Amino acid sequence: MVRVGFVVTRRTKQNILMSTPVVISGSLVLGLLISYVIIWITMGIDIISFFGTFYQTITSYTGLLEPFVFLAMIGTAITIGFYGSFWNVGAEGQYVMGMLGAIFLTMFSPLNSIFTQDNVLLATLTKVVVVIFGGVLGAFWSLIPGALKAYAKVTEVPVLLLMNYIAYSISDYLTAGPWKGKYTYGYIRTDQIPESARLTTIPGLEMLRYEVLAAIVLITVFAYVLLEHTTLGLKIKFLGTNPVALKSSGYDDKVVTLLTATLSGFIAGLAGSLRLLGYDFRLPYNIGDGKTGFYGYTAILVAWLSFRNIRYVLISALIVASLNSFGYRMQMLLKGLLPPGLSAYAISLVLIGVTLVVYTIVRVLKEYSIKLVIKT
Amino acid sequence: MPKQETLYAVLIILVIVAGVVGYFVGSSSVPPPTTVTVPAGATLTQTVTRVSTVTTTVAPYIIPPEKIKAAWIYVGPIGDLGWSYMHDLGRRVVEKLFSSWLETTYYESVSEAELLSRIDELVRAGYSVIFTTSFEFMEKTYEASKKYPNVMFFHCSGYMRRENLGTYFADLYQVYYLNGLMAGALTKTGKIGYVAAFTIPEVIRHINAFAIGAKEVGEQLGKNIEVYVVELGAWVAPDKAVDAVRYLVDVVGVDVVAFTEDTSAIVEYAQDLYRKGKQIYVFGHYGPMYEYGPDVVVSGQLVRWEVIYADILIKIKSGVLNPTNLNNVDYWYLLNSGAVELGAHVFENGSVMMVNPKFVAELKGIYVRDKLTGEMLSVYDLVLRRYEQMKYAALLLPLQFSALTHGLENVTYIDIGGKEKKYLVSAIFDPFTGPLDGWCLYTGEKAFTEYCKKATTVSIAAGKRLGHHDLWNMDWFVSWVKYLGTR
Amino acid sequence: MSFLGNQTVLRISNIVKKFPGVVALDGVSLELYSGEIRSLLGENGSGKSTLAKVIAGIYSPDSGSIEIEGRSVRFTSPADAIRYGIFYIPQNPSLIENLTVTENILLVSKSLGLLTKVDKVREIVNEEVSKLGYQIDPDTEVSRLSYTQKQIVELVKASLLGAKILIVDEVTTYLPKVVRESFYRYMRHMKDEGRTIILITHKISEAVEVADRITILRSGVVAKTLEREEFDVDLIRKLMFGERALPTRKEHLENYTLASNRREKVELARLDNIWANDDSGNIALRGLSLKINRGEVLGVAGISGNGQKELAEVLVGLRSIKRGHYYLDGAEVTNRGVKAIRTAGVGFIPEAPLYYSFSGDLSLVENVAIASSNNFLIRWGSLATKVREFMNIYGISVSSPKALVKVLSGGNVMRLAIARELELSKKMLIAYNATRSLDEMFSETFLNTIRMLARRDNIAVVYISESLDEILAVSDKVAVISSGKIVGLFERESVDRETVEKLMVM
Repeated sequence: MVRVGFVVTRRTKQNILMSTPVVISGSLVLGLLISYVIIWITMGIDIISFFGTFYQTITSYTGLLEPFVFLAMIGTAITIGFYGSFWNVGAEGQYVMGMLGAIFLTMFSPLNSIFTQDNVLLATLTKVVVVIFGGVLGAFWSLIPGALKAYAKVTEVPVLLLMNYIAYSISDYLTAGPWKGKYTYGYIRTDQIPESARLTTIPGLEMLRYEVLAAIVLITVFAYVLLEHTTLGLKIKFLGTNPVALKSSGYDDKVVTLLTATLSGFIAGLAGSLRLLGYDFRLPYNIGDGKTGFYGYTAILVAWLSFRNIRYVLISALIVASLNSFGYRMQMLLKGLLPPGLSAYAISLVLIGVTLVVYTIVRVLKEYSIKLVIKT
Repeated sequence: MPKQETLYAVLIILVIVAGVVGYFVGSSSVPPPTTVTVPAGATLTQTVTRVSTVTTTVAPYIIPPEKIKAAWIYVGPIGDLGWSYMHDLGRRVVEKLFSSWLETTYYESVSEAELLSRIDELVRAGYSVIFTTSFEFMEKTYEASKKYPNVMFFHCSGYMRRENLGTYFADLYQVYYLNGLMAGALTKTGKIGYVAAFTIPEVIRHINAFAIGAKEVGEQLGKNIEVYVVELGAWVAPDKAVDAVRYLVDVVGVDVVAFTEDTSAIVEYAQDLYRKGKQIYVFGHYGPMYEYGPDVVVSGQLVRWEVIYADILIKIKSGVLNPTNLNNVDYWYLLNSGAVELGAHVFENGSVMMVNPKFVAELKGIYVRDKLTGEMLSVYDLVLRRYEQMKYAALLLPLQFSALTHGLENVTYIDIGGKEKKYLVSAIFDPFTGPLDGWCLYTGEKAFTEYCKKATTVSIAAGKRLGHHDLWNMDWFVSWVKYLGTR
Repeated sequence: MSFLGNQTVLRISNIVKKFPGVVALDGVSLELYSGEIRSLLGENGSGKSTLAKVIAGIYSPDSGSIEIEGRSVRFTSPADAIRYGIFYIPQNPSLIENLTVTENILLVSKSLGLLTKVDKVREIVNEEVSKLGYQIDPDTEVSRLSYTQKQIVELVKASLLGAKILIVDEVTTYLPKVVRESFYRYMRHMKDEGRTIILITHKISEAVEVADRITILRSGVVAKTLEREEFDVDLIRKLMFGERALPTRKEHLENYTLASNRREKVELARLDNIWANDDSGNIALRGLSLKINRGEVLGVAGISGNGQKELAEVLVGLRSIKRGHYYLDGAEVTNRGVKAIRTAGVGFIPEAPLYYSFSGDLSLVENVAIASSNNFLIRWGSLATKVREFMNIYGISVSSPKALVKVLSGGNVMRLAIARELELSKKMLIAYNATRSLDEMFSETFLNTIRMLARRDNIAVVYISESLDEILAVSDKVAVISSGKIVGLFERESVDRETVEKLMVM
């Protein structure tokens, strides 16, 4: 009788070839090759135009910067949650709440009058308040599942998902009802926020805003310092790995859960308000119908790719953003070859999916060596 | 080990940053792609030097492009038979037709938020004519046209224009009127349903035209015609659309349905009801949907965007249109242009099936009076007569090209003196001719027309034909339309 | 005494097994014979548990070979090993808690195609258990059994399923003497049937008492295998610890006891009629009262499962008090949370630091920081220095303070816990089965340190342990816990072992 078995052993020596950055970029290359084979078999695209398009994608900063900054911000938010085992799949809803907060303050609160004046300084300061308010709403949105987790022991994942849909519904209700715009030509949508409330485009980098650039730098530095150099960050790490040890060190795991949820939601909310002030300027109806770009969901992949390591969030966001816009660019190549019903989004998903599967396998191989054994 | 890892991470990020910066520096020294060729000596203010202080009054001498790269951006998927599908059909026609000098591409399912990124990519890939085919894209397209002054943009259904941003639209209201004539004849209950994507002027216009047609026939047959409108709040929402029809049929009691939604879901649902023994009548929207409901589709509306796309591209190729003169380019094509058609099916030889043969006999058996001439004729013949009346308007076509001449579109006759005296300018018949009574859906500062800004009801005097501006901004329903709100 | 060494059952040659940063086994070769009790003896981190797990198919070796009855084998899982008749009984019973004893045994026997009839199994279980002089109802849910009972079920299970080689890993360490002896009896009985038993322990006395041969491991290599007639405690100790070997326990401890005792008793903490539940909501502490004095080691003796765990948790604030009062340093801290108690200067050394104290996925320095960093920003530099000191003083063998705690051996984890917590014990130290995974030598050092803390630094120590030997050795006062109550309290001078043992099982 021949039996086949696998011997799985934890690696003792860290191979330099298996260091995390190499694993991430290696998975990207391998994932692309496999995706290429899939696309080549189904649609017959030659390898030069495939990788040529990829090269164009990653070198075209214009198409890449915008998804990159938002994926990086929300990816950071989710990663902070992951550190504390707060599996924030609700970043999408927190992001929408951030948008709601921003449009509320700029259009439907007394602050609106500030933007009709010509006071640039005052308008700038108010913008900061608006952005932070978006963060606060995001934090509040995340705090609800956080509190349910901490005090009622309700698993956060389904609650967070549910909260996404509630956020969509609130947004749609407001957009179709009290906030429906006057200048929308019958469309259901809000009016655009005043010019003076919008963020400032960086000349030469049209897809970036000064304020967004500042935010991404601040958020990245904040998250790094928080997790690597503060007691709170350490508490979050303990919450994520052994909450009993956290408790027996004299800390309240419930409070740390709340703080984790708050921080994670706050950053996702910031991304939402920045998005509204800098890019969208208004709320569309049926916002859950892809009108958010699903950044809140895609960023989960960013957090997964960086796997509880804040240092790799930026590079992961860059990879996911590249694959995402690569998928779109593939449309130009695949024009007429795509089967009906298959859109660019599907191509993006194939690219991202294959890469993440490869990455997951490589991660296992990084930690463990697997030998095939044949016995007779 | 962690130190080494950090080192690697820093290294990789540095390489990427260096790449991006390098690319940025490199690309900023390369002029953006342009369709405009400026011969030596001439100056063009829109080119590379944005801060040029030398403004010249000499009009630039523009050489038409050898080849054109044109791109389409769709809001929905092209897989369904609706709006985006028909635009893409138009693209495929012109791509083949002009293959010697035209290269095309497209992006589908693009959201408003992503539009600018997609445009950036297209411009970078050398596309210099970009069609954005959704009203939602208006402001962002305008923004993009400012950013890329050498690229020509054409936005479908909007009203914002610049020297390099034109607009175009093919409107269906006349076809909806013809559909309405049939609906008025076929309804048993007098209750007719309409599933609307949004209650924007375009759709209000369609609903009104449909309702006017239904009443013209139904009233004579002793039916109390009422049109019930449900709004979806989305262009593509097959599930919501089916829910709305179910509500209209089961609760309101309608037996005829027309719609503005970009899938064939409603037609399929009606066919399904037919199989279960319940006959309702539907009108296909935008694409040829007959095959999805051969027992329920009476007729419908078809569009041929290729008529407009071909016109635009030929005019670019021949140097008529260029990035400096699109300010007044505003196509408004009706039945007379061939850009829209009555029917729900295209035969293999390219001709259109205007009415489903299954219902022809019934329509031929119902007699009504033509309100223009007073003679009795079958509803089927009335439909054909009105079709021809609206189709024949030879002088209308050039007026429909430019924003400057839209004001002349409701001029029926002009007096040119001499033997001819009365010269026909637009169609002999138009559904939006008074007397008409209506109520304002939007009032006060939310209204678009003067009527509704001042009052809550609208009354159009007998014999008055609504002009381009009234049609374009329509914010009121005729009095027998009932609005049931968003569902 | 049976005939020894008649046949080689298991031969392992040159086994090497590495973990991140540690070489656990560095070329171990060993022969085991049928019908013997072999003791594997070694200090913490000597590789004895790793070796056992390699034999049991839990770990796969990096190199080296294993032969069973002359045939070369390669295990890819514990199931493989079981097919060859190798059973591993871990320190923590691996039975399924909400199945009955019979069902647990059936579960494995069915998969091996052995016994499949419920009645038959029940009968055999009864028979086997009675051989041990023990009573266990085969239809009881495992969750209702005590630790000892569970381990007996494990033994019976292995025996029923035809174990040829039985690996018993630190199972007997804390068992009361009476129970331990019946365990030994059962093991001898199995040996007489021709089976081989590998007894893993770090207690020299235990090995000497029961084993036919002792194999001593040191730093991942076999130091020596001794035949029964060569057994000598001092020799063994030398082989285990090398030059660091210490004098025997008694004289060493005497040093401290001499200087003790005559000190005024000042109360530090008091438990007043405490009621508390266990994890499954059953009452675990029933009106327990206890006075804890400064400068005094209070030993709490009892058989496992009588409320010790809950008592420890109440003392550190981890478990909520249903009724009663807890006073600490003049203030009531009843249900005031861990922080109130910890900041008062209370250290806590639990039996399972990876559960209570540390996160295995984080580094040593992070695990020290969580308990001792009070500022918003953490000063990693000074903490790393501190951890390096810990590593030196307590002999924690690991590559760097940034290594993850999960790569440490069980003994090293405990040393780290002791290092961290002793520093935090400004007023009181709660130790709960703290020596369970410590080798003899370090246990000695630890017990001495505890006495020193009490004597020199006037710290109150609550020493909860299932080992009566240790309690008698270290305590100034001995409390006996049974069914969640203190049933006896003795001053050191008046304590009598027999009385205590009687109270423990009462």
